[in-house]
Amino acid sequence: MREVAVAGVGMTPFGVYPERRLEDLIHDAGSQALADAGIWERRREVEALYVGNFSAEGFNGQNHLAPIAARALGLGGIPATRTEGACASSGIAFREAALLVAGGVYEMVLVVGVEKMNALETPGITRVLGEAAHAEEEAAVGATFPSLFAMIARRHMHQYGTTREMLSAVAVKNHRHGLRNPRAHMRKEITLEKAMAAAPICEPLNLYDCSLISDGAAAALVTTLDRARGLAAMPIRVLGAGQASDAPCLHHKPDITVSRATRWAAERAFAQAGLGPGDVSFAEVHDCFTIAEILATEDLGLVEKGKGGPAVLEGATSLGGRIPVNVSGGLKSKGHPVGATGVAQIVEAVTQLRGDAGDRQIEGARVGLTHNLGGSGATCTVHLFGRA
Amino acid sequence: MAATTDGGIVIAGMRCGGCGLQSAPPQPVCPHCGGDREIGPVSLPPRGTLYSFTIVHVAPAGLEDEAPYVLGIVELEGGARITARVRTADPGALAIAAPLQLSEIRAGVCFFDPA
Repeated sequence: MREVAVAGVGMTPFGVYPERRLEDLIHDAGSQALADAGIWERRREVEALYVGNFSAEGFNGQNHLAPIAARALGLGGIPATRTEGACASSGIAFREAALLVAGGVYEMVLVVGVEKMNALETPGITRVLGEAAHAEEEAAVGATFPSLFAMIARRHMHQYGTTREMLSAVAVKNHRHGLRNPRAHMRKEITLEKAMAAAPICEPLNLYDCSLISDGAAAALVTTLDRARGLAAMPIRVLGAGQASDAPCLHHKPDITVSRATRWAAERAFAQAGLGPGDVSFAEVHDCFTIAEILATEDLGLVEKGKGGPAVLEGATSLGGRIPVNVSGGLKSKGHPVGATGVAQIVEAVTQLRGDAGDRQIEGARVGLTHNLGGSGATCTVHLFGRA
Repeated sequence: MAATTDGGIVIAGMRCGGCGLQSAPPQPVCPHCGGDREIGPVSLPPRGTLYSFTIVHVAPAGLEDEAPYVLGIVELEGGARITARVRTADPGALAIAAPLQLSEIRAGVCFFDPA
């Protein structure tokens, strides 16, 4: 297998953009990534386009998005493929691109993740997101995504003593981090008291346990390490790319406080990289809900099982702590345009490893991990990145 | 999911002879071990305990009028779990492991009452 690198990254600010078309968001992120690598004028060298998107049909009435993305970037003609894996849609797209470059199929692949959610009102958005659960066995019963993660949270509290304060501490930390990210959706510090007292969404989860409903796009240019060394930006190596699936319904998991897909995807990525959790300098994990960050840090092996909550309270996962998690602000503060999230995490990892993260820079960052979860954990991708 | 025997409601499920676990609904392979041999239909008992639950305040389009409602994962006697609704006048009194009794299956959705 050939060594693979990210040669360019780009991202729209995440936010609420009802007036911007999907292709405008795609164009902004994709053209930034190509310009970052210094090949916007030579973009016909890109041989394939992968687009991660969860539900343009549900949010925007638009299927068949990949050729629209190719047109938006002046790449018409090349193979253009959309991947869908709920909120892990673009983590999957990136992994496909990395594997195709590693295997010698292509020299250069552009990956774009995109979602425009704010085209519907909240009940409609909740319904479309609910389509990532099982239609008959969960959604028809009245399950929503907050409700599924609320049941995980209640069980985690029951089994490990995780508290309301620990959940809210995740939100407070990620908002504090997001304040330092100019592209974050909600750059606003929140207090623990306010986070704990917010309106209930699905008990025990409240408004501040939930990530944001955002619009945006993110892009990464994937090529061989050799090729990337001749391009404009500092190349960042892809050290490992793991993916796994798990039961599509929570009721078929032996223990809903464990994300097996996270464990399996991480094992595969670590094995490829020849690394372990102790080698990771920082992680961008899928905090679609506060409890999801706690589960992720545990199942990735960054903290002991059951200790994800205390680790947040102790500051271990804060910028400056032992293992900084979601320094970008995470899905909670940076925002969560679901199909864009997987690549946006990679944009942050590349930015940190290049040393370009400004006042949220993690000193001495050498290995970055990104963790992108789909549904209630039925799909997961884990990627590892390092300086070349 | 509905079936009726001896005047009571039961839940249509399956048992996998390979791993020995019960589940619902019936399907061609076991959702636990992936095996497809020794799969057989079983009637699951209309009783169980609450494995986890939530009180849904923000409902999806189409269910707004029903909120707040209790959604739970119910572990039936014998071990199969299903996602179901729990009807109670006092959701604050619910707790993990609370005993439940199936009261109704409507449009494929199981509704339980505290036992």
